[in-house]
Amino acid sequence: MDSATFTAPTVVGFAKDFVFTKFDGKADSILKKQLKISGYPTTVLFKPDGKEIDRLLGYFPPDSFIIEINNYLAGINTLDDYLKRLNKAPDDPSLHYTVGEKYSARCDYEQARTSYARVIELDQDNKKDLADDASYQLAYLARKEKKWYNAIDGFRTVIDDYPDSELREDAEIYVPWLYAQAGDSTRAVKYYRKFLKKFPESEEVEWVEEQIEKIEHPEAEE
Amino acid sequence: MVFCPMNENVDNREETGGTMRRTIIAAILVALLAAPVLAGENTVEEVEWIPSFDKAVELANKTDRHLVANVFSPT
Repeated sequence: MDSATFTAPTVVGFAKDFVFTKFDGKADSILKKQLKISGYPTTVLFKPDGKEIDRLLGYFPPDSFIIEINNYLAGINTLDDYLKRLNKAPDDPSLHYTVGEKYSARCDYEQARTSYARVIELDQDNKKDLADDASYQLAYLARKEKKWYNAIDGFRTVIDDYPDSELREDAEIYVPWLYAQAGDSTRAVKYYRKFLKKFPESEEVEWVEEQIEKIEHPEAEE
Repeated sequence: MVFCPMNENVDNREETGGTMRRTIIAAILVALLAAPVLAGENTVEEVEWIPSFDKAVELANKTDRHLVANVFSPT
């Protein structure tokens, strides 16, 4: 969470009714694993007895932070809340998508995969603009688990099945990056170059050129 | 989702309107941070952090308060 949130007077005042703690997830990997932290920053809200209510993943400005915490305290927008809503509307792909995000934030990747797969089934033509997102998330989960080739397949599915998706450029850049992680420098460079040809105006051009340079001239890094 | 493969930092700020929103937030922050300095104070108040997670859990239970745990990465 950005430090601006925790120095905002509204949050400082709000925090007086709570106990606040923080830790570096990379320095304390045991605690990070214990709390099943999937990304940074993550803010977890617990009941006084230590049971988790829900969590916020990512940056939240002060007002949004207070609103979300109050919602969670009221049982709104929590995983439990969304599961109850799903019981009443089991064919709502947007609810399945949000549940997928909730499970992913808890590192429950099996449940997240089930939810995202259901989104793809329910939004087959991507008319609700959710199927491409869910497909992307499935690939991203494989990336999180360092299953590089599964992730490559996943992002290729996004590219092939949703060629007009806003996520296509991201998916295209992930492919060479994943090849690099898998140690396949030849394919990494090949697909980085393909990316440069397909997306010459991309904001990532400079970064991609740096990656190619690092692979082709690793001695320059030393 | 914004492409950020190198680390686990999440950038969930929306791209549309993000720049405007960040400019406004920055202006507000400058005003908020400048106010105590202009008033002769040189510290910015922050939430009170309990340094140990275990102690925080214990304190929350003892005082019947909810616990907020922020997990960050310095990179």
